Amino acid sequence: MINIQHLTKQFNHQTVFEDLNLQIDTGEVVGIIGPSGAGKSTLLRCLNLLETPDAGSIQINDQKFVAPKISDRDKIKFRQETSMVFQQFNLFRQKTVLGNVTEGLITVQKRSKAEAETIARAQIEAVGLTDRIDYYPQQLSGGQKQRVGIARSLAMQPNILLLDEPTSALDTELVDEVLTTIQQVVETQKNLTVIIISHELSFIRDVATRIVVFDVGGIVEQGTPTEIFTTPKKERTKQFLQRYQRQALTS
Amino acid sequence: MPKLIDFPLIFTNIPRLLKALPVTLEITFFAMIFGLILGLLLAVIKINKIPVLSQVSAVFVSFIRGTPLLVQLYISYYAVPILLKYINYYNHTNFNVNAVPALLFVLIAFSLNEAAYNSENIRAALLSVDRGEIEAAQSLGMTKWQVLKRVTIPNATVVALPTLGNAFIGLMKNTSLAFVASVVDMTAQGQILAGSNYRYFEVYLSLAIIYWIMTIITEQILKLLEKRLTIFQKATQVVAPASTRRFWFSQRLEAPVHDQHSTSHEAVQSPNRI
Repeated sequence: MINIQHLTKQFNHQTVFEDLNLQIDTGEVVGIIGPSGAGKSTLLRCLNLLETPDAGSIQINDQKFVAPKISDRDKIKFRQETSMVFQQFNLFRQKTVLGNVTEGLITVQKRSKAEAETIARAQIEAVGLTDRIDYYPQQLSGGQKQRVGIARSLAMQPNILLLDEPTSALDTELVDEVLTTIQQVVETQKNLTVIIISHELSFIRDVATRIVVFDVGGIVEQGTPTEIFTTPKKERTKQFLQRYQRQALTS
Repeated sequence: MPKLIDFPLIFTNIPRLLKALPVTLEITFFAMIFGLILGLLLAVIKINKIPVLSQVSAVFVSFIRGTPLLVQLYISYYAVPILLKYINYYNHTNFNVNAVPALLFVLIAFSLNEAAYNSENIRAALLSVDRGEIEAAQSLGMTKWQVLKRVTIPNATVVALPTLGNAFIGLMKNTSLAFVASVVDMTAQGQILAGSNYRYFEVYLSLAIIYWIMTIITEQILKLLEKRLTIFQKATQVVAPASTRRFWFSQRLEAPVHDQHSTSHEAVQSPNRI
């Protein structure tokens, strides 16, 4: 369960979002959509405390963070609830696929190498990269890199999976393999709470149980995929969806 | 008239000079290791802009880089005894200044000099590490120390290795200045040898050959180390051909409904691979 209350984040006195409130239940798949620069990624980074909010609070299960101060120890505990998949993959370039996935298990969770490798191999197999297990990131395609990123995150057995535009750095032909992997994660791990930011609106509509529309300053509206895509209430949502549809048709 | 150059003597000198090699190596390795540790510390202080310490380290680095090593050796040679006298006077202790080995003054001077230069190299290397990798490590729940140890230092080492390697070679040759503090390293040994037979030219040629060979060996070791550390960069890019990707994709998603060409129906039967 995630409970975000009155969350505010500024960069150089410029407000990204203010007094943001959002509650997400365990097992929900929340899709966050909205124009670029609206603060979607910043919200996700605040949930992982890669960015420290200026005010408000975030509660994830038993862990509560009240902005803006948090000790390093609490920050680490907080981060262990979540796991993040990055837009630019952020793989450890000096490590193989196996090394990337075992790193957190060995260093953070203090598992033995053998145990970590067993878990990692299962996750790597799950994302269909067993034949690339000894490859370095630079030997992989963008889609494969992102699947390693997903395997690395899932290996940590988080309660919450945060996906920050996982396909936006990929060529069109590589997008599908990553979306398929995410879809399978969502379908098979029912207790996993997933928050995904994506511009792949058709994918978001299929996979999310709830959609949150974001714009500069905070949340515009939220609802089920049907509510948002067929009967949006706010004018800003309608504009965003229309513009997206126009772009999709043009492209 | 004696021979102008006694070529055989150049080579017969070498084993005699090598007797002092351990001292040269001791100074080189100690100064490099201490210089790396202190250099890393100074770099971290500067990057994190720690108040007071940051300013102190900036002055220290500026002073060391702005003064000749020979002058630093003299300062160390005279400053350490004064410091001991000062301690003795104010703490009523009785440290024997004359019992302090001369090597200590040399080690202090070389270490501090190395630390100042290394700190700038290390700082540049640390700043070059991909921010994304650091964030990935943080998001996995690593502590600051774990991030430094597991991600930042290994990545920075690859960047810093060539410059640190050059610094090591420079340090090895600079140890020849140790004789000014009465330390008998290879150069001092050469002077002693030349003083006894007056064949200065041959002795210094012998010394030059030894330093040259040591440099070549070090360069080769560094090359091997660099090759080993950058193995991930040398790996040739092997991306699955498009046909393979399509096949994999068809197995997982398209086969059940759309893909007329797919021959695999495993995906239909066992979709839950995750």
